[in-house]
Amino acid sequence: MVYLVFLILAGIFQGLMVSLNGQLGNYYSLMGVCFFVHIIAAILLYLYIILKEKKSVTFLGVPKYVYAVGFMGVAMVASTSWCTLRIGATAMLSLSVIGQMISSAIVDHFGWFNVVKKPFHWKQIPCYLMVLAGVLIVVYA
Amino acid sequence: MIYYAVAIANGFLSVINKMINVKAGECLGTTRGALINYIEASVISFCLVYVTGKGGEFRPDFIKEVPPVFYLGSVAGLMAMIFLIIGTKNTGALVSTVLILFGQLGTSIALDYAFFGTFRPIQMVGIFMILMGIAWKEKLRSAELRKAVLQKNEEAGE
Repeated sequence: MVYLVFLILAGIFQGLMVSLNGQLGNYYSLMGVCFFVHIIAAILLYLYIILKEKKSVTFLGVPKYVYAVGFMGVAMVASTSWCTLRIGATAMLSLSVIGQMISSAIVDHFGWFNVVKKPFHWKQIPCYLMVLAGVLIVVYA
Repeated sequence: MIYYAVAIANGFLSVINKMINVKAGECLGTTRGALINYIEASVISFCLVYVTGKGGEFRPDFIKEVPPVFYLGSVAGLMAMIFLIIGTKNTGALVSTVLILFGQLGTSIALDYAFFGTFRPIQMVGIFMILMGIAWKEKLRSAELRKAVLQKNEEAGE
């Protein structure tokens, strides 16, 4: 039962993050928002690794494409803040769900990033349509 | 319209980003895998702030003008990551996906009301449909996985 509460809390904190980052956009440019969001998290995580895990920090020995992760982080925070300020956090998150569902299906279907291939089944279409209808209600109703 | 397209693209990016983060986590460990993301993104955005001529945003008096609570977005993100890791390890994909989304969307409705003063009860119906759709899809997915495992076991037994 406690793990279910943890998962709801994870969602609550993610929702808080999206909204607070969006509010930061009222004061800073998009890149300014990205900087503060990432530098605060980097400092906290660095302290955690050094003090709690007592590990050294090294970034060697990863596939080259892993180094692109920072660009994606910037693009994600910037686009989240930009959209949240204009259309609100609820619409932003709901639309993002659609994007996540489609891209997850593509990644699974083609087995990208070495994941096990899971071909797309047409019987999943009603599920997608239901989510789409829900998103349209959130955004337009 | 452009905001809607960007929000959907954000979802695409989020999945790709997640997959790369998983790879980074496999090679470096979860925390260092996340740290590489934060450090790189900090450096890139710091440079872009100056490139776009907005360096004045880093003036201490400007930074102090912003209500401190708005800087806590990344702290909330880290808390979310911790709860996510502990919760997902001990529950199934279906439960974790639906509950996280429930928490996210519920909070965003509350905060949209707090920050923008907007609340439309019909949005609750939309969110319920999104959660049902995701739950349905996850249920189909786990049924397919079970079927595949049974088939593999049968083949191995023959």
